[in-house]
Amino acid sequence: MIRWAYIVYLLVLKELRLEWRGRELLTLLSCNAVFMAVLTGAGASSAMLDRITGNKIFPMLLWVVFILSTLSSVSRSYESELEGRAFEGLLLSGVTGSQMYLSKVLISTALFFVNYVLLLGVLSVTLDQVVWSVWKELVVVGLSSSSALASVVVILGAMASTSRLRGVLTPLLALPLLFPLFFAGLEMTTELVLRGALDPTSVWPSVLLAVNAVFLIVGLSLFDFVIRD
Amino acid sequence: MRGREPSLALQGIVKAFDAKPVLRQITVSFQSGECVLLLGANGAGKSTLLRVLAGLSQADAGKRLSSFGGTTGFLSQYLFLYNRLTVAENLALFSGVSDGEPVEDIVSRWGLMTYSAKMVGQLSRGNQVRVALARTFIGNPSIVLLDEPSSHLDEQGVQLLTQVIKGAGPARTTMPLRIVATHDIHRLGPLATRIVVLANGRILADSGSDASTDERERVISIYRESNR
Repeated sequence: MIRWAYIVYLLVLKELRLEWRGRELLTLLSCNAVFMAVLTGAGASSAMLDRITGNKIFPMLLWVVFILSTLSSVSRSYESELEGRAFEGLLLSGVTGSQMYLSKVLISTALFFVNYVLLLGVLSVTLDQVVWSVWKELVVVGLSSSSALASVVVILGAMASTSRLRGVLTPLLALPLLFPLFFAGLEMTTELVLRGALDPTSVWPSVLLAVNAVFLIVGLSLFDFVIRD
Repeated sequence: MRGREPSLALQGIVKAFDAKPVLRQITVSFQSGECVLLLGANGAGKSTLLRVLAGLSQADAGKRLSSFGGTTGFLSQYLFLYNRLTVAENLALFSGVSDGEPVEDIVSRWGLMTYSAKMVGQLSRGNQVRVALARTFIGNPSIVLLDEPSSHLDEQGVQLLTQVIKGAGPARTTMPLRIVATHDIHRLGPLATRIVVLANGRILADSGSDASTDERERVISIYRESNR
């Protein structure tokens, strides 16, 4: 088990180095996110919405922009593996598909979470919202949504990686699977922003937890089949 | 004695790309310690056969049976390296995941000291191949598959390659199965204990294990005839 986790650690380190050298995914994610957030925020401001209406549309804008900006960027997450098909060398060296999958999910979760925090900041400024009182809860929602999103797009990105249409294919395949995540994130953010706390009887935290568990189990089980020729 | 050694066998392997057959009913078996030269014209199916042997490509029909433990080292047309990692980082990664020797030892054995801090993507093709060869032999693999290993190497690199194929490189107690697809009969031919000729996705000739010089010459002449 320790050896298994050590290999995942080595793979995460590799992913971090590749991202640091290229800064492709983070740059693309943050540019897309800020661009969409500024545009939607400016659009809402020009409609001269009052603060209460802004308060109501803030969660919806946050989640639409978060999902769209992430999906429009993820097709590049598998490019470094395709350059020299290095992942095949790793498979032959004894690395399992599940180790590879988990390392990619971890790094993607971190990148998506950075994207979420960035969006939260930009949209709260452009829509004049104060969300500091619930920042801890919003961080938990953002982190668990980022991991669910990463669990889906990593496996779909690998499936679409050999297609010339991968830029379109990954978002198209992912979109229907992301509805439970989208509604869970949206509902919880709405509760937090409008009421300042999560409703204890709310089913959405359980939905988000279930989405995480299901996608992660499916990804860990199937990734090895998906990446082999 | 041979029967008890680990073996890698293909039974009735068929593989096609876009309905074009590349491998047609390949049945062949290799055993530990053999050094096999795989000859064939361009497009004969050598690279695809190596990918099937490595377990990276699934055949459309037939079986791949392996009783080898351990890892497989494969130098393919793709070099299985990350262009945006340095030579040392690539080797450290592959050595780390397969519990191989320290990177410094690998770097010095393969004469990569000058390049170890450079990104793989910045190296010449010849030096990239040298790094990929170093990666291939990490962790003493039980099966070594080499696809045109000498095609981009300088004379010094080929000497190093022949030493490692012969087993003079990494210290080891048992020899791996080595299968080398090449056109370079002149330099790599003398290393082979067995020669297999592939033509149009079929095995045209097979000298068998521990073939005599005469038998190997006969199989090589069949290859030359098929190339005319």
